[in-house]
Amino acid sequence: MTATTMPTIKGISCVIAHTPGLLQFGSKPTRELARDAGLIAKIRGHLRSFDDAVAYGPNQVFIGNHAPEWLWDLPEPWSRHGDEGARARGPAGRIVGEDSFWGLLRAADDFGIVDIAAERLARARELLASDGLWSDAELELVTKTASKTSSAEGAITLHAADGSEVGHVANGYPGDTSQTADILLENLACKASGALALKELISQMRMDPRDVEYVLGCGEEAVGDRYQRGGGAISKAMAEMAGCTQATGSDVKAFCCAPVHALVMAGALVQSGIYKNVVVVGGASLAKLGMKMLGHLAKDMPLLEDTLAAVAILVGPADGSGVRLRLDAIGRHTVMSGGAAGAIYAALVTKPLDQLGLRITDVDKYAVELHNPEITVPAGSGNVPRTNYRIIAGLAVMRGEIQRDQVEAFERTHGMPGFVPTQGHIPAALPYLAHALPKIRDGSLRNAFFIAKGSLFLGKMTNMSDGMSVLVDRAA
Amino acid sequence: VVILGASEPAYVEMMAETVTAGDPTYTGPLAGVSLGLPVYHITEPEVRERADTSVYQDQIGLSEVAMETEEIWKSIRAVRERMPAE
Repeated sequence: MTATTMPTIKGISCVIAHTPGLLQFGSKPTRELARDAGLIAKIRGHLRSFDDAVAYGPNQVFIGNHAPEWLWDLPEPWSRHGDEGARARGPAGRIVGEDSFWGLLRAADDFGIVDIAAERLARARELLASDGLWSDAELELVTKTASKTSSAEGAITLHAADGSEVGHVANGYPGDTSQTADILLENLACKASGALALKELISQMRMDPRDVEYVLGCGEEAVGDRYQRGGGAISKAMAEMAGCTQATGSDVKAFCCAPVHALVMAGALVQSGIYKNVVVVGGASLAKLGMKMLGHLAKDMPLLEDTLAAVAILVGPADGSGVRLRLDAIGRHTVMSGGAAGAIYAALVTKPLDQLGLRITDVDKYAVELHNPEITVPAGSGNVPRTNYRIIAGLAVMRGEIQRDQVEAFERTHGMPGFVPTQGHIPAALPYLAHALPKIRDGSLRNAFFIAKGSLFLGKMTNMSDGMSVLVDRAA
Repeated sequence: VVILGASEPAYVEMMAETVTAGDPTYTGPLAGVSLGLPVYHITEPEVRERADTSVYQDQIGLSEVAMETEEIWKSIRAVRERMPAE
């Protein structure tokens, strides 16, 4: 394998669905509301309007209208200093509102699970038609009538942000605890948002959707029924919804670092010559809506975790366009690696860089877990990217590449502020590709290193964590 | 004794208060429960001097470089002064 023939990352789409009405179905809000149903009024009193979600600086960065570094000059709190020139569309993607998303949820449902009021669906169809992404046949699926074949027992009621009733989600097979209404809603939200990201990517790349051969899902939803909870896949369903009729696909599961695992696999499938166009798609995580809600309510902040976010990345053969996926510089956190920070970062950062003879400071930008700190800090989870940058800088100090007093500055020179909604696998480094790709193509960035970590231990099958990293650079 | 390892000074302070005076956020099982336990951060000299140097370096060394230890120590010392161990 030579570096000159390595696969190309052709493009990335980053989309947001602002869904304040669905926030109550996040895991944390669901559990809190079970304890105190009256909390719903307080939640609704702290929801943002669509315009506020569009104007929110980190969301503008996510869809590519500003560089991440722009946030350093934006006064805090970012939620009170909206971007006056904000647009719902950007070079990397778009932000759609709840009124559109109800239609996508309905279109994603082939089993009459989602029943939404006809006038809402008509409005959604109108909005989605104006986006220009969907064909007439696809829009027809928005306004089709729910067949109500699912059992109505255990159905949940959907509400818009203002509390008005929108419709219902039924459960799947009666008595199947793997297909309760809340699980199906999670999965359909993942499918709909992932398909939106796929559509956006295909539009951006001006490609024929039939040219997509393989789709690797990297979301965190468990699709299946009582005999194979989580054993199913969602990627092919997304491909179908996005019109990729010649594609098949499968899902890669590795908690938050699945997207980087999937990107490396996509590169390998292309490099081997098996497929030409492979898409990595991460649908949104409904369970994480309102995850840090209590911290935000305690500080009387708007509930910033009101957005579903999804990404799609196209990987193809070397084409001279400038951006290479360095399959010879992959960092893997192995079983042997252990749990200490030093060992984790040696496996994920120094080992792959050493393979290429690069120093830590030879990498222009490190993309780490890019969680928006305005969401995590008030809830006591700290500034996640900052902690990561300090550790990478610490490694550079220990290797004698920088001085101890340069640790603080490393975040500014080699890092960026977090800007991604706290959607688990979505903040895992890759959304920075939206900014890195054009800069690597025009030569203003030499390379970028993408590092993701996953909390494997959450599944109670092991105490280990996981991690995966890869370098992207300018083709010679 | 409780030894904390978190890297965020505000979080360290909250956890330290939780195991001494009780959960200040009133969200967990220690809300209103005063355990009065002595609490230290892993990077504080009182703790690290008792650890094997090579093990400490191996397990904590890099994290310590990355932490704002001065701020962390200030936070946890303030809690110890406010709420001396019983």
